[in-house]
Formats: sequence, C-alpha cells, structure tokens
Amino acid sequence: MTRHDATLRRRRRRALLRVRIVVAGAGALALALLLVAAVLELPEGPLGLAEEAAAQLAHTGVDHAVTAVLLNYRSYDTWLEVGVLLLAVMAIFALRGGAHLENVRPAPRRDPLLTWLTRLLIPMLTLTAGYLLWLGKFAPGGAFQAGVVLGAAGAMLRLSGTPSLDRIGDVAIRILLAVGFLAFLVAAVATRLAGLDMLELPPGRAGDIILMVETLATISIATTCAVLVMAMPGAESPPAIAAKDVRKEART
Amino acid sequence: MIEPMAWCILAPFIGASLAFLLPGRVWRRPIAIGAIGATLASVWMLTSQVWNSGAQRMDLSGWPAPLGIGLAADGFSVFMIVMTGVVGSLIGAYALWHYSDLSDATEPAERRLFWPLWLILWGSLNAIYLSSDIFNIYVALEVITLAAVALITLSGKAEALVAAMRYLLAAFLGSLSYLMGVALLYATHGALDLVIIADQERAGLPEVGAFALMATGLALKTALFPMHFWLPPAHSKAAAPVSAILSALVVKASFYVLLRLWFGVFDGPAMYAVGILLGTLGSAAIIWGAFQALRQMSLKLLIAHSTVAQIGYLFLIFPLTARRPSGELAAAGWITEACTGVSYHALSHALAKAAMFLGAGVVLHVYGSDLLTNMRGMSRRLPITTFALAIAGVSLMGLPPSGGFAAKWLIVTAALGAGQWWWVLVILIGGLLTAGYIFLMLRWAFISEDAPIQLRPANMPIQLAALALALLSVLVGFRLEEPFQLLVIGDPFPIFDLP
Repeated sequence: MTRHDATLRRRRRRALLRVRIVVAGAGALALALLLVAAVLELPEGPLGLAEEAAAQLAHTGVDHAVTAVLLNYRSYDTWLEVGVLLLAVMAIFALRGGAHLENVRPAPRRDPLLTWLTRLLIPMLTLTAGYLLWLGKFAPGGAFQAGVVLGAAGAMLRLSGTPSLDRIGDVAIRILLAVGFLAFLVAAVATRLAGLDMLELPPGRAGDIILMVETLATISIATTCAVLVMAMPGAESPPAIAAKDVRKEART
Repeated sequence: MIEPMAWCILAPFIGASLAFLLPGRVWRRPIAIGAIGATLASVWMLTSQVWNSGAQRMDLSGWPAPLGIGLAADGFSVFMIVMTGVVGSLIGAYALWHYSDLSDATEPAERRLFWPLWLILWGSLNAIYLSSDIFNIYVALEVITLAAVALITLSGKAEALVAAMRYLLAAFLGSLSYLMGVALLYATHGALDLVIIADQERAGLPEVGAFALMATGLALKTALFPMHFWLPPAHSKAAAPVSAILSALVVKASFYVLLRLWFGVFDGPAMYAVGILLGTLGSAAIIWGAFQALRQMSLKLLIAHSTVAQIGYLFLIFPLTARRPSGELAAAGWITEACTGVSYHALSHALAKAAMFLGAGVVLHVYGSDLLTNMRGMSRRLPITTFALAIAGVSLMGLPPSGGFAAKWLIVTAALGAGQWWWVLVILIGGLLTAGYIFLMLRWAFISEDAPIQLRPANMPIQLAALALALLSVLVGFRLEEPFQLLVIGDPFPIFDLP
C-alpha cells in the first residue's frame, strides 16, 4: 500500500465520521424537539396511578408505595425482571463457553491491609444489606438495593483473595442464582391453587409473603452480582483468548 | 385450576428453571421433552378455550387494571402462540439432536445452556402475545432480547460474539425508544393497559410522538429496512436451531406489539402518511433484501437476507389499514383480507424460514461449510433436505398452493380493493427476485460433484424436522377456514369509529 492510498483512506474515514456526527446530531435534535413539543401538550394536573396506589396501600402488606408496586400491584413485572438477571448470568456463562465457575482462576495474592479491611467491611455490608431488605417495607429499600450491597460484599471477598462463592460448588451456585425466580414461580402457582388470582397476596399475610419473596430475591440478586464480577471474561484462560479474537475481529 | 393462558407462560418457565438447575446429561432430554410437551398442551388448552368461548382476560396479583397487569387472549394472540408452539417444538426436536452427545457440532458446555435459554425465550414470547400492558410488554421484550443474544453467543465463535454484541446494542436502542414512548403514553392517559388507553379519547401530539418513538424502536427490533443492518450477521452466525428461532419467531414478537399499538392507540390525520411511510420502507426491504440475497455466496447469509425481505411484506398492513386525513378508511371493506393476509404471511414465513435454517444446519453438518459452491451433489446425498429447502422455497416465492401464496393473494386482493395498486407491483417483483435466489441456492444442489468427497453422514430425525416444517408451510395454504375464524375472535383488528 502506498502512502497516497493511506492518506485517501484516512480522509475518507474522517469524512464518514463527519457524516455520522451530523446524522446523529440531527437525530438527537429532532428527538429533543419532538419531546419538548409533546411534553408541552401533555394534560395538566395530577394524572396517573399514584393516588390510587396510595389509596390501596393498606391492603398491600407494606407501607411504601414503591415496594407495593414492585411486589404486589405489579409483581409479574418484577418476576420477569428477576428473570432478566438470571439471563444475564446465563449470558456470561455462555461467553465463558458454558462453564459455570469451574475454571475461575484462583483468587489473587493476599494483601494484609486488604484482608484487614475486608474483615472489617464484610460484616457491615451484610448488616446493611439486611437492614435495606427490611427497610423496604416502609421506606425506599428492598430486594434490589439489599442484593446489590450484598453482591458488593461478594465482589470484595473476591478482590481480596478470600475464597467465597467460587468454592461452594456448581450446584449450590445454580440454586442460589435461581431461588429468586423460583420464589415468584412458586408464588404464582400456589396463589392460584389456593383459589386466589395469580400472584394475589391475601392482605393479612401479604407482608410476610413479600418479605419472604424479597429475601430469596436478595439472595439471587447478590449471587448474580458477585458471579458477574467473578466470571468476567478474562478471569481465566479460554474466554480471554476469545475476547482477544473479538477485538481483532472488530478491528478488521 | 390455573388458566390455560397462565400455563402458556408457566410451563416453559418451569421447564427453564429445571433445565438450569439440572443441566446434566441424564436430565437434559427428559426435561426438554417434558417442557415441550407441557407447553404444547397448554397451547392446545388455550386454543380450544378461546375457540369455544371467545376472548379471555385475567387479572394478575388480584388488582384489576389500571393498578395491576392484565393478561388477555384474543384470536390474534392465540394465532401467534400456536405459530410459536408448532415452529418452536419442531425446532426443539432438531435441537434435541443438535445439542446432544451424538452431535460433534457442539461443546458439552453449550449443551447445558441451550434449553434454559430457549425455554425462557419461549415463555416470554407467549408473555408478549398475552400481555395487555405496555410496560409489561417492555419487560418481556427485554427478556427476549437478552435470551436471544445469549443464544447467539452460545456457538462461541468470535464472529458470533461480534454479531451478538451489535444485535444487543441495536435492540437496546430499540427498547429505550419504546420505553420513552411508554412514558409519554402514561403521562397522557394515566394508564398502561392497552384496552384502557384504546377506550380513551385520542390525545393528539403526545400520543403521535409516543407512537413515533415506539414504532421506531419496534421497527429496529423487527429489522425493518433500513434498520436491518444487525440482522444478517446475527441470524447467520448463530447455530442452526438458534438461527431458526431468531428468524422465524423473535422478529415477529416486536412486529406483533407494533400492530397492537397501531390498532389500539394510534389514530389521527397523520395516520395515512405514517402508513404509507411504513409500507414504503417495507417495499424497500422486499426489494433490497432480495437483491442482497441474490449476491450471497453462503447458504445461511442468503437465508438471513431473505428474512430482511420477507419482513417487508408484514409492513404492507399499515397503508392498507390506515385512515385518510378525511377520516375514511383507505381500504374500507378490505381490512379483513389485509389483516388475515399479513398474519398468514407471518405464519408461513415462520414455518418456511425455520425449515430453511434447519436444512442449512444439516448442510453445515454434512459438508462442514455452507458455501453454496460446496453444495454440489446434494440432491443425491441429501434428498430429504434438498426437498425441504425446495418446498420451503416454494412457500417463500408464493407459488400456489402454499401458505405463502395464500398470504400474498390476500394482501394483493386488499391492495387492489383499496386502489393501492403499487404494492401489487412490489409484491410481484419481490416474488420474482425470491424465485431468483431460491433457484440460485438450489442450482448447486443439482450439479453433480466433480470428484467423490468424504462427507459426514446425516441422521434421519434432524432431516425430518426440517422436512416437517417445510411441508407445513405448504399445507397451511390448503386450509384457510379455521385460521380465519380464529383470527376474528375478540376483534383484534378494530378500526376506530369515525369521531
């Protein structure tokens, strides 16, 4: 390839980039104009379901509207969202060639300071997660927040070289990952068999059922977060090679 | 008693959970067969229930809409669920072999993940067809996207990973666009239930903006020209059963949602222009996709580009069911033909395209490559697969008496009745180009090989799965009465009364 060719190609690439920027800018501008025009035309005054959701709160088993929406009014949506998390783990497993955590590289070298900090933080993270889970009943909190904090504890264990989820075996990991999804599944079948609507929670026991489902969901969400960190491509040999291939492929 | 509607979602989800928890060799086959059987039984129960006693609706969580989420099944939902059930279980039969230890095309590791992913995908496809809630549809679309992406990456090849990543980004952009539309609709109507929104007064600009955002997102997910760029690599680099699932079933789900919005939410003076625009993009897809298919040298890429073209036909429903600015329907009296024609096209394309991708899987297994020039001597070596590819091709071309013919005939009738003769022209040219790439594909099969080559043997079951799908794609053209009666149950295609 001559230098002339290279210059031409570079120029063409730059021109293409400019076209892309112009197209993207025009698209963004059109979208912004559309949204502004639409929002200006929106009906005024309070509209929506917030009032009704608040009015029925007494029958939901919890005192916080967001938790009521997530685990009572629209628990079906939350079930599917927990399914999304399960799928995310499966997608990571697929990227690792289907292997679960079997060939995760042994945790990195220990650092005394890090170990000390971990010992200090893990109990506090666990406690915070438990508190957030319980808090969901009457304030912002619940399974997702608690699960993320607990998952961070798992990630921290991994980073500090402390054996944790990577040592408890494949079957146990799979069960921990799936219990959240299964909790909703069991609730769906059980409520219907009890003669209620599917996923309907009897007002008297709704609070207990919600806490139980949220606890199981917390376990799955935390395991999902921790596993996503542990199983990240590059944590061991085979996918690391695949990732390199991808980068090469993307460049050509 | 659990409603058949709920079973259609529960059965595949239970199967997926079991398949995830017990991925070992011993359990894989019984779980897969059990899940397919249970899902088919649920589909059958739902079909007979809707057939005998009309459209169904159920509330979830004990809260009727607008506070809770409703599931609803009318004739159109059931039509799509039956399509997914029939095509899905035949692809499943193929996958039973493809992801078994008899197959050397797959790693032990990927065999563990196919079934949980596919069963969750199946359950959420049914969830889309049953959902009456626009936000719930968004969540189900996310589940479908993520499961589809993971299925593409299963093959582990670097090019599949690149294709999956591009698909993921495109599909997420589509999801976000749809979600913005959901927010606008909720702000306008204060409800998320499709029926409640449809019953309210049309709301002008915010609603039109919402439809524009949602239609753009859904068209991106359906791979409507010119937003189809992600489809050919994603659909061709995946393993054969996954390609079949993506091309036959997954793209139809987002199209279904778009149709629901078109008939349930959108109306107004802009309707005719939007309909013509969508029809024009569909026509461009028909021509462009077929031209690209003609230029391909590998079987799976050819079939994938053919999907781009066949998706175009689906979008002809919009100009034919639009309302002119004056308020009168563009195709008054021909709405039923247009709607049944397009639904029928979705069905016969799903059958034919699944047959072709499974046939391509057999070719890939036997010949070790899917280059068209390598397929010499195929008509003698793989008579069943060659026959399946040819028969599926007949349905794609729209030759009588196939299902593809019935579909195109109905669309042409509606277009002529509406006085929109130009779509007929597009359909005719599209049919000719389709014939072109089908013959181009089959030409190599009938050329005898230069020298005898050593090939792997193909077993019967996987060839028969492809053949069964191909035969069904033709046979559905013979019997139109029942599907027609099914499609009108519950009036899924209402055109709003004049204001």
